[in-house]
Amino acid sequence: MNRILSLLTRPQDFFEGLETPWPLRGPALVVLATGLLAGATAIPVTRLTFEMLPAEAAAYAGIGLVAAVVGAVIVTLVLWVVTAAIAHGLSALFGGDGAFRRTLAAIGYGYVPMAIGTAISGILMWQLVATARVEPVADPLQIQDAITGLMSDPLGQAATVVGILFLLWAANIWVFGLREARTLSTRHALICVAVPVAIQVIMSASQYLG
Amino acid sequence: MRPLVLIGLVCLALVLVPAVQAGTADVAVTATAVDPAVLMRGDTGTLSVTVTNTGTGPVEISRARLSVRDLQVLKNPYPSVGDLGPGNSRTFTFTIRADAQDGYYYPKFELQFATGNSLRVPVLVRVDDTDLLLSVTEQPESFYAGKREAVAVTVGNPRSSPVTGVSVSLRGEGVEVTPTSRFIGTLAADARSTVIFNITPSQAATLDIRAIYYNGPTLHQAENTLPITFQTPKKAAAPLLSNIEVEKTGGAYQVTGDVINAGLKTAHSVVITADTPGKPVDPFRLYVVGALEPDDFSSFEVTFEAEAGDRVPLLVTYTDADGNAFERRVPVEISGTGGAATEGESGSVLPVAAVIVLCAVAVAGAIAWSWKKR
Repeated sequence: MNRILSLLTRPQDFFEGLETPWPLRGPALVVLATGLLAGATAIPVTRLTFEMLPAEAAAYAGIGLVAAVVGAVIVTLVLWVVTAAIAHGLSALFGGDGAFRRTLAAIGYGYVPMAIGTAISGILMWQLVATARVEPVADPLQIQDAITGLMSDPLGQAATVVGILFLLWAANIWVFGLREARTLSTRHALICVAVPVAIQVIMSASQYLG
Repeated sequence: MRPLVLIGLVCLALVLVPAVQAGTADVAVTATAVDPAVLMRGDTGTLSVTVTNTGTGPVEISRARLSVRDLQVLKNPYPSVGDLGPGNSRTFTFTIRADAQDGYYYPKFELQFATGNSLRVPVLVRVDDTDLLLSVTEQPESFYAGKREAVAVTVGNPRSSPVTGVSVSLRGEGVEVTPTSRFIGTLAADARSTVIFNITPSQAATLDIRAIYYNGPTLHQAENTLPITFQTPKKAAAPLLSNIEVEKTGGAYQVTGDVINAGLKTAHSVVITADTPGKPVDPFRLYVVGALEPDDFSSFEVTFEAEAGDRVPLLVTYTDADGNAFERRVPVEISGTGGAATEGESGSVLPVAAVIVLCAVAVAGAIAWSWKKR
């Protein structure tokens, strides 16, 4: 717990105290936990989606739920690697020095606040789905519009905002981690982190941009 | 002297008597007439016979009568007649009634002379019960409630004699007819006449077409019917709604879309509004499109309040060129989100804002603390 608090509030001390080589098991577990929490958030939305589909599609609801959870975990893991790759590549432009493993670990540790944010967002989404009333749609292509409409609800918007806030917290940790992992200046580390963070913020906000 | 007088008297008698006996042969029927010319079954008419004394001396007629087996002679009014002077004519008229089937009849006119001779002449009387023909020769393709249409009725006389006092009328429950009847007058044999009526039906009905006329003094009636059923006119205006989009703004629903006239006639004064259970509200309580010609279209926008989950019909009203009003209802789903919506408030905005603020404070605090120099 002390280590987690240190990571969240004193990331510089945390990363300076890490023993070389930086372990990947811890970060991987954090990312996996975040993925599972994201999967738990996807369950109510997926169930709502199947309620809107015709009755014959409802028979595949179970498979759909499993697929949603597994998909959320896989996407989280892939996003971890992609974020690390973008940050590592950009840091190379600034003369960064360090193995990709360290970058991967630094990004992975940054998922701790994202796990917290995902949990809070999940609670908000469960509350949103619990009060939602669905009507069957004749055209499955209308489901996207329906979900988008649902996310326009204050709870849906709050879930998105909370996710972005904790992403910023994670980005803060990534700055310290990348600075330590790739021996960068603070300014360069900020730049390397800003790009993948900006991409993720845009992706989160795009559902409201029509 | 006396024998001479006797001989003179005998000679005079011989001269006079033959003169008197030869007068009955000079009486002939010179004309006959039946009115009406052709009787219908049950008709009352008159049969007239004109006799003329073509001789040079008077003829004494004791009586005249008409006898017939199948027709009925209502009266034989000539039990005694009197003298018919030379060159004179006399007409004997009898009232008859055609209580018989269609056909040709020959009642006998009989003139009894005082000399004991008689003159018998058959007179042709025809009975034909053929009625006038009534037909609707023009009517609209279909009738519509409240819409005035013209109907043409033709009356034909297939008889071989004219009829008089012909008039035609139309009647039907829930049908307004103008005029209520039309007078034609005399209709000659093989002639026809067409009259126009304007009818405005308010309900499906059967229109009774009636023609009354006189054949002689007897009143007759011919009938026909015209069923009035309501069908969708093939060439009517048909405003249809498409491209409908529903949005919820604040507490009201905003529906936008296009209205197109898919019919063959212009739709006048097209107005669109929300119907019950929707409650029209500003800014677009109703949308006036105006006139839409065939294949023309226009966009529209209406705003209304309704309970979530209701199906609200959009009411489209319009008129035709005659001012007859029509309306159509198009149901619109107003779930608002195309398939899912939260019921009422999904939680007050305040707690949600509080969560966001708390998270923002925590994140900002953590980030600030992480950059604080030791």
